[in-house]
Amino acid sequence: MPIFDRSYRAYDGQLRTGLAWWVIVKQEMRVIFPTRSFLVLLGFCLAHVVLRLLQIVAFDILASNPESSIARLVKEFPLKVDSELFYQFLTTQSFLLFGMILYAGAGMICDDVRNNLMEVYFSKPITWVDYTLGKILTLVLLGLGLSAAPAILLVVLHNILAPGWGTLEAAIEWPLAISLYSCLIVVPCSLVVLAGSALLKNQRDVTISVVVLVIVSFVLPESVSNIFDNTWIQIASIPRSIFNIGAQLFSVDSEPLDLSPWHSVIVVISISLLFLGVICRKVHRCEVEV
Amino acid sequence: MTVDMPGPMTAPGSHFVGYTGTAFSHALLLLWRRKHLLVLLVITLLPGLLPLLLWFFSGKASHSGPKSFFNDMAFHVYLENLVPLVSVFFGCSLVSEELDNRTIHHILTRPIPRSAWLLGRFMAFTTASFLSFAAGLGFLFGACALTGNIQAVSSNLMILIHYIGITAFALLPYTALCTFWGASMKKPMVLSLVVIIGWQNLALLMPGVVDFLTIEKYIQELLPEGTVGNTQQSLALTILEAQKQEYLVGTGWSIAALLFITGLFMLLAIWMVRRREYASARFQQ
Amino acid sequence: MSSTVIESRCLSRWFGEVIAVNNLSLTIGSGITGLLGPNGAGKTTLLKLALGLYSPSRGMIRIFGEPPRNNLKVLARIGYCPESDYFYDHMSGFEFVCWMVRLRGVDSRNARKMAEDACAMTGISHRMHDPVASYSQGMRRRISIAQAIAVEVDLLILDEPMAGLDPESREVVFNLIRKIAESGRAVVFSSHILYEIERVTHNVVLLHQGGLIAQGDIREIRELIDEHPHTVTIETPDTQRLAAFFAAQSTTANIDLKDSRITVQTRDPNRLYQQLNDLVLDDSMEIRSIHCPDDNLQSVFEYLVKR
Repeated sequence: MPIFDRSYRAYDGQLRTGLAWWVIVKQEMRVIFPTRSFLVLLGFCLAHVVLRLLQIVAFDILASNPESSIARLVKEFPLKVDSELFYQFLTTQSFLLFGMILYAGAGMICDDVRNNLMEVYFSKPITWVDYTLGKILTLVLLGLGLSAAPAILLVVLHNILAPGWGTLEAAIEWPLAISLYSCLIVVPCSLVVLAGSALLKNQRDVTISVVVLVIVSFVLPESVSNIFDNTWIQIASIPRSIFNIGAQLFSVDSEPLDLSPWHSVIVVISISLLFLGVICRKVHRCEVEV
Repeated sequence: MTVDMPGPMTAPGSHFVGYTGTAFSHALLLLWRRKHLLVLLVITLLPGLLPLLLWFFSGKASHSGPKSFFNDMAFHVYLENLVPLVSVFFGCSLVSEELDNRTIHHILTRPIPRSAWLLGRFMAFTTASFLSFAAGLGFLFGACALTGNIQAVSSNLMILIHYIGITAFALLPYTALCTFWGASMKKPMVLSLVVIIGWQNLALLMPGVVDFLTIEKYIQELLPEGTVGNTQQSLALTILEAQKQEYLVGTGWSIAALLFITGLFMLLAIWMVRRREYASARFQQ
Repeated sequence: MSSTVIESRCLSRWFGEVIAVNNLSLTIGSGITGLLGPNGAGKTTLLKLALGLYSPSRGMIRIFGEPPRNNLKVLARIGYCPESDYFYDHMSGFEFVCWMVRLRGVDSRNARKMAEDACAMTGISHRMHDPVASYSQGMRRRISIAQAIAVEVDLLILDEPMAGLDPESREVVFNLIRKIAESGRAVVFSSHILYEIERVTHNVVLLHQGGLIAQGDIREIRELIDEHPHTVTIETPDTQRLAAFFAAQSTTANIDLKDSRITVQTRDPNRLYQQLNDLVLDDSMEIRSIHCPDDNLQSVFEYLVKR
């Protein structure tokens, strides 16, 4: 009778290093995407993209054939495809993205802690860096997928519909501005949501805290600035700082802040680093405790 | 090992009001123990510090005077922002808190009417929020009076009472709406915020009678004459050149509408709690 | 069995494509009933259907003759200890039990008395005022049981009540279940561990893959499986003679000899026991011990599942 070795064996293969965070990203995407509420929010984001797409198509048709029927239909509306359109697109999209990132990210860390998943993750060859990177990248990729990606596609579409050196020359800087502005919207937003998730116990507390923080950040600095007649107080408004940098990137005249964009850059980077520090500290502590 | 059996007693049972009262005190105790009440009180009292800070640093109340400052703060900070946010939090927590803590099994296996349980918790949450907002508005009013004209306090006290009254009528429908959302969905908060903040802002700008489908419309109708909310509304009406003037509703109808919204969504929430299977894996994950 | 407590007819419950309970028709009466089956057999789903936490996808379930879903009259007669222990945070064990009693409509003063008694019954009086967060798993389980037994009910449903309990706590719970049943109340408890059920009852319901495999007294079930050979191990110094005796019997299915033990598989256990009695009475045959490994739920269950 053959006797088979049923004892434990050492793993013969090689452990893949450096890509452990990708497992977290894949896992999170798998959890987020099938939920109905998420699909509703995704629908809002995509509806806005479709609206802008129609705007560009209408403009290009109008530009190529001013006598077309659609031209007569839309001549009442100020159609224009320029850098301001993309600035407006991304600024409007930022509110929808905020909702989506909040929905997807509010429970990302606190739910893992509550369900003892930290122990499961850290008992695998996954470090706290992989875990943190995976969580952040999930939200960032999600955000960029609905901001930078469609915006760049709209630029490409515009160039296809209205080919020529003039269009290309005008649009040559847009992809870079789109990418930078999208990152500026998505990265701090993801970090604040994840920091809230790392600090608080459940996603309801995270959601309401982050929303209160954003509203206060919107309203309070401006009010206090008006009361004290001091524009420097406005620097505390993170959303306005982001919009301020965006306006500079797209060379839009209306600036949301009376301050230099460089001040806004410093504030946004500092706040993002602060939130990143909070996430790292809390997750690292979980790994140490495990 | 032997077990000494003292013999458990039979539950005598209770009536609807009794059950509601038990659910009310249970929810209130949990609010207190979880320090939600404390946080709420801090949040509602914080805006009252603004006139004090202003007075401390600049030595004057505000450019527009203490009464106008109080009106601005009461409307923009409390009614427009804090009341919906607190309602979203408490309304959505009403059912989903039990789901998150997985204590819903215990509730659903007690012989307590679902309606009594939901109503008791709703009353506890709205009472706690109302008292906090009343304290916050009172503090703000006191701070404005202290930094402004103290003699005007007695004559303007009605404004404070007026705003406290509006807060009560605003909390009820918002919390009821979010209770319904919370009873229907597993993660209701973000969608509730989208509906309350996003939809209301959009609908108030749209022509016709779309704004009748918002809660804020009826709250604005209750504002004292000459406040910012009313001014903004009439300005918007002028700009839009719409025949909206005739669609304005009176105070009585607004209160009736707010109470109707509260009743409707509470009934829907009760129906939802009776219908949903909260013990299933979908809600327990 | 006397009065019917739980009755189901063609009861099915599915979640998407997963069938948790499949065409189940059973009747459970008073006394202690053990709900036995491996993980995923549908025990918890059946109990939740009985509590009205789920509604049936097909068929019907009645508790005391009434549908349980949203039926407060039925719920007032049931005490339930869920499978997992979740409590209100920032509360002591006593407070939790007390509030669970109050939510049954009991006034505060009586609820305190009932909660104290329940904590005493489950042996946690000394720690009942400590926060639940500081309890061990066994303590949490006892609190969960305490809230179920605090009020006198006609039916006690315990879902895996022994999970996570140490031997001492198990003894407490075993005795508690027996005492409650002695007072005339029905107890239904689920487990996938045979030993636990055998300790308190012979009345079992065997479930597998959502379906009913067998129900009744474990010995009666054993008799029903007449085609399944019954195993008896006999220890004797005269194994050769005994083996020859059993080999001559037409009902013997298999004989296995090992040292001083002989293991016989028979299709007629009653006859075998009678023959063994005769052999013991006959001085010519020395029999040191008789062991029936088959008289254990495990073998019955394994056989029924494999059938």
